[in-house]
Amino acid sequence: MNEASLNPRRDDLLRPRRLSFRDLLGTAWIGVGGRPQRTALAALGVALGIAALVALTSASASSQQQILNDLDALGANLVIVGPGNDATGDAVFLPQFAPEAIARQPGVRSVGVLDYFPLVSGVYRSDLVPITETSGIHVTTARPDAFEAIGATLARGRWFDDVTRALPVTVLSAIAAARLGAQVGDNVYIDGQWYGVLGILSDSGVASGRLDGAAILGDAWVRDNFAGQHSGIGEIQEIYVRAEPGMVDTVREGLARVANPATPHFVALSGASNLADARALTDDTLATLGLALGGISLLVGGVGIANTMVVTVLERRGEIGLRRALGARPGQIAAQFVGEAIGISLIGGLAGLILGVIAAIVIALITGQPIVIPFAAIVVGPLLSVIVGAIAGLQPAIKATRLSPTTALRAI
Amino acid sequence: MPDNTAPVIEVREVTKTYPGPPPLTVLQPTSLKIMPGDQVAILGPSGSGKSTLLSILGILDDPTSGNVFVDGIDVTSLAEKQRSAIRAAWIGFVFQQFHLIPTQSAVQNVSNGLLYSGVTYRERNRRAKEALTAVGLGHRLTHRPGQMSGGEQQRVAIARALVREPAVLFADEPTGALDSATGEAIVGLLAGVADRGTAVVVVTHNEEIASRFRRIIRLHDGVATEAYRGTDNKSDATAVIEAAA
Ligand SMILES: Nc1ncnc2c1ncn2[C@@H]1O[C@H](COP(=O)(O)OP(=O)(O)OP(=O)(O)O)[C@@H](O)[C@H]1O
Ligand SMILES: [Mg+2]
Repeated sequence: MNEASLNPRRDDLLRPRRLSFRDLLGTAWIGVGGRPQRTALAALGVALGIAALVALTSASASSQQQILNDLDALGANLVIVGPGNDATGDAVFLPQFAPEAIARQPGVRSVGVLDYFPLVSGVYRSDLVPITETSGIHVTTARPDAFEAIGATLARGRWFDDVTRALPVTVLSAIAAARLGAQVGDNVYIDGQWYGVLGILSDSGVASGRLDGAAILGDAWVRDNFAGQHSGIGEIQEIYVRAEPGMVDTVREGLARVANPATPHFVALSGASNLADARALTDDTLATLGLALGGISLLVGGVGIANTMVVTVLERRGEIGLRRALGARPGQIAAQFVGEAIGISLIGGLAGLILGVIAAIVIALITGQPIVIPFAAIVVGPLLSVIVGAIAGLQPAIKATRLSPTTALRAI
Repeated sequence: MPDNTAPVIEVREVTKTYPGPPPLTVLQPTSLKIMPGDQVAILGPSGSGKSTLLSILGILDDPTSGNVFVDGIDVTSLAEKQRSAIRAAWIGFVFQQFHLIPTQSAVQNVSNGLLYSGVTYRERNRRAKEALTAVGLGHRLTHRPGQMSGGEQQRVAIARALVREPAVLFADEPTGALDSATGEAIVGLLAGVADRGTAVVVVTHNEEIASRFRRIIRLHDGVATEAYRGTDNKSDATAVIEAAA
């Protein structure tokens, strides 16, 4: 008998066969979908872990957002641009295009301008008060865009717009209005001219140093009626620049060159820099806390899945032996059980994500904070559950491949 | 039979000793050839080493010494990857305990027989239905193992082994979990497989079942002897049994 057979199947006999990814998923799904109750219980740990992760990072992001909002209101995201002084001590005025150029920069949320104010003898309720009696009320010049940028609020009336900026009207700070006893619609007397009271502020925002106790005049009116009184009339005194959240440093960096390209070294920048520092600090601590708490819960969930997989591999020794007898390679068996662990974990992860988002919304609603669900948490949650599943399933899966086919088949 | 036909499986001087303590030799040096289309029964009392011999023939387990040839290839020195490929392409198994996956339907269980052979999902499904119909279960395609009788479950397991069109089918006590009438039908089914060219090797401790097969190899305390049966006109293909103590 000739042992070197010409059997046509022979060439093929030793060729390892591929198990397609889809078929591999199919084998992994047997354990995941075949026993939903076991899967649900095993996934619970990871679900709670991911839920905790998402809920905690979201909740901390919410309270962080709240703090940031508060800090920003205080001026953490503020940079004030003003004219610098040249070698002789004279002010180097900013070009008139500066506010518009700054507004076009990325990361800039709003821009507002205060102009140099005219020199006046006083602000009075009546023209009969002698000018030697000062009212303690000074005058400031503002453009319409200043209102938003400084974060002011109105008690009554209105702020300047494109029409009223050129009219003999004034917006009074809360203090000025109280001292004068003036209401919206009343007239006040400044340097031989009656001004109608357009609005009364309740809060001067970050410009309280300039606006508190002031009667504010529109910039166009000042330019037209006080021209030539001094060199600053019609020039920019301060540009209030508000940055988008977290962008204040970026914005600040290029600001001098944008504001005055010709002589950027004669630009004065100021702002509440220690407030900005506080903002950067809260960023870190709260996020780290959320991640740490979620990570611990996830670790517990991973141990739960590892536990389940150890039991599964023991329970299904018969199936493992059968698959080996059907021609499965050890690696294909391992992939099946790792896949199963990942499947269970991923189901937990997705359930946890939904749970966590709901919890985060409820927490935000209860505490009255803004609802913030970090995009990273939505991506990282399920991704993390996949990693946890893979790690949890690895050791039991390797154990499954160490089983000899005969031993596995004998175990019933 | 063409002259160049190699044995589908051949073992030469294989022994098996389970490492102790104390070491236990359960198979004495045994040589055996299984030819295409052979019908072989391995008969012997419990503990005589039947399952051990079958595992070695089916390259599920390594012999302690000796060599195993599949279609003339010495597989004793092959890597696990290649041995797995041989199992997938060449060998079918049927077990006493069926080993069906309880959460899968009959068709899914049978198509598992082709899962590791590189056959596409559609093709597996088509051939699984065919194989189930061939064993008389065309009306039980979507049933799960728990919804079927023992005999039906074993027929699903046989369909799973046959769907691969193996060169050789090994069955270890395939009727052990069945009543005698059901077992009878299963034995008939297995004996018929050989008519299609697939060699069949059945392990049993039942003389009556063994008598349905053309060759009978008796095992006793790890010593194999083959009773030569003159009626077999394939005498040139029958095994040479060399049993030594
Ligand atoms: N992994 C093992 N380690 C040690 N001894 C083993 C192992 N597997 C089997 N044996 C022993 O080898 C001997 C033969 O076992 P085997 O399963 O081949 O017998 P068998 O003829 O199939 O018996 P049965 O009819 O009961 O199935 C038995 O005495 C058994 O205890
Ligand atoms: Mg046995």
